[in-house]
Amino acid sequence: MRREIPLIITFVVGITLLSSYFFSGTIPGTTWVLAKVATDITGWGIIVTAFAAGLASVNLIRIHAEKIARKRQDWINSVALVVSLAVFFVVGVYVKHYPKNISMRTFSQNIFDNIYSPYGAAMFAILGFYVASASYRAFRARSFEASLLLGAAVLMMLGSAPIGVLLWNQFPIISGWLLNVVNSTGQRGINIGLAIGAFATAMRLLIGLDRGHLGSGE
Amino acid sequence: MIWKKLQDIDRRIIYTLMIVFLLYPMMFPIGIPIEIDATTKDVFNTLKALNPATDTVVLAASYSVGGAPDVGPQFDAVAKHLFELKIPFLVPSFVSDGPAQVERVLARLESLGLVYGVDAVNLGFITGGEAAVKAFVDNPRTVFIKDFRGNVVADLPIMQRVDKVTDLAYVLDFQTGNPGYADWIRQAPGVKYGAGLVTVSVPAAIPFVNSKQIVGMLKGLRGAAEYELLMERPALAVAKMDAQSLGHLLIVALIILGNTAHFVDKKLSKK
Amino acid sequence: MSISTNPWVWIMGIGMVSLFSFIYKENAAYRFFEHVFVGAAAGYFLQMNYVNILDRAWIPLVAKGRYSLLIPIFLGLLLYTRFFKRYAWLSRWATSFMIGIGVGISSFGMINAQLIRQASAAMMPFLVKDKLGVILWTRSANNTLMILGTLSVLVYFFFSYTPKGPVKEVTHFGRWVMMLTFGVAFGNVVMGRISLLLGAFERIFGTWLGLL
Repeated sequence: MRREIPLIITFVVGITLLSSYFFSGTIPGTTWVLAKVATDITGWGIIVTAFAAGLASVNLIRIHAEKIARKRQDWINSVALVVSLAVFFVVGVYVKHYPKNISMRTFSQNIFDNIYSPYGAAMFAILGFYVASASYRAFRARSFEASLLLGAAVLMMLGSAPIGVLLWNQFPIISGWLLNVVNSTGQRGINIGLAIGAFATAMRLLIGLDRGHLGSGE
Repeated sequence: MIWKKLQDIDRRIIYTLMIVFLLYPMMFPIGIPIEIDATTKDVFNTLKALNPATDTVVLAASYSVGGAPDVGPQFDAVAKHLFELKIPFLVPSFVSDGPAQVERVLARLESLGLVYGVDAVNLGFITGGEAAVKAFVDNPRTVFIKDFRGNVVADLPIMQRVDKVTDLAYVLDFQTGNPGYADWIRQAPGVKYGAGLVTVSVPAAIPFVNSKQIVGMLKGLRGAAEYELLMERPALAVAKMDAQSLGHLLIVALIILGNTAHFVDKKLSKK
Repeated sequence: MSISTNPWVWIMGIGMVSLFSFIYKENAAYRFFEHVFVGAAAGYFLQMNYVNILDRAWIPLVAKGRYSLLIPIFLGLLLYTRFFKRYAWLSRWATSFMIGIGVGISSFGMINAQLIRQASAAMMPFLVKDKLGVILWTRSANNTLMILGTLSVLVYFFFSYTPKGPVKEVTHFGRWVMMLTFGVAFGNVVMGRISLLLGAFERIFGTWLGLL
């Protein structure tokens, strides 16, 4: 039962939603309108996903609370994490319940604009440095295929930056051709393959052949 | 020997060069001309052809804070353009970072005369990825209950213009990942859909532009700069394009230098 | 412009510079602000999802008596049984429900929008002629490349058969097309990462230090 019920849930939910793309009217033997049932189930899915968002936070708090309690190395950083999490959560919830409180709204926008948003941007921006370093150290034309990759990348960089046209007026034309013709060809082949693969996986999940998400054991 | 040394150059030298090459043109702009791509013109012309009396647009804010420097300026420019054209727009967010970023843009436009709830609405965040996109496509009018500012969405004048998804003249989706164009073209095949993409996602989306499933595309920061130029209001994105050019030049030079050092060293050591 | 006197901007600037200090060497300031960011991201994401639960489940249930919403609330709560070993298996119900939704809503579009529409877009004439019947060689060459290239990539991904003879040559061509495709992707990665750096520099050197 512990494995069968989940398989039945996946099948019933999946087949109901999939049917709604092909059929209209009521579900045979009932007065339920298929489109309405599909909309309701999708809405329920949104609610379950919202609950799932809490899982990561619960895990995060558990790990860092333990670190703080045992005063492990760098425990002060764990305090920073938990405090930061709590502030963002509490302030957000407060603003939701008291949307007319202007000072709290401003505070909420300020912590977003000056902490979360720029720190997030900085974390991702660091990759810009790594790309430069990797280009220098690892990007080598060691084989014919690697040369194709490298050549396309260099032409793309020269053609897509505004300065490319000043260096040689054919750079943008070449990079445009690479993007719209060659890249489109490769991506389309990959996409078609991906769609077939994803559809096959979806069908395996639907009929219960693929059970990886149930985990091992009972 | 020098070629070997050149291969082991300290990475911090590369980082310093990067900072100099990017910062210098930001402080002292060069003014390199920018050519405008056809996909950017498609977005601009689509919006320009709309009728303010009857048409409503969706600007979906599905971009995270990490990718915001690439996509945010696109949103800024298009929102400003719609405000000038007096075309009302709904802003749903399918990524949690969206609504607070949009709030800044709307506040700026409100100071210029935009009427919240009539000309634009920040609908807030709906979780669920593709399921959320489907829910919005099924019921664009009722799927959001309260907006980001706590107003009841159904009471807002702008929402009276939209009943079903086909009432939307154009959906322009600003995105940094999931949910993104793939989810939209799966769930809303009958909708005129355009994409504001983070530069990294552009190549994968091109086949859908060629097949006309995506009508109009803004390609990263450059797309934003091109849009600003089309509006004849060069702003922050245009200002960064010189730095983008020098950054590219530096990386191309590094690739050439790195390869030269590698192959010359290999040849010499064989001897 | 001059250096900012806004304390919020200083919090932003110090945090960003500390995070960037990682490129020099990992250090205590980086680790501290990294933790602040992770906490902020988790807290913000959590509250945004709380709003979804409140607006879409709790208020309609309590205020409008929509008792059918007890089903997703129950399933959502079941997710948390994974923290209790004895009842962890119950969380599979919720996972299976979400997988059922994923399968149900994406399958049709996968075939319709991603397979059929893309395959039909690849069905183009080898020879393109203008209204007067003159062959447009550039477009014809591009079309030929796109048709053969797409087919070669598909053949490359045909794993059920070991390619031999001419088929092997086709897979080689498919691989070259993909290499060029990945090169284009790398070029775009560089451009995208530079954009992110520029955004960060604008905040540090412009908004905070007032140098831009």
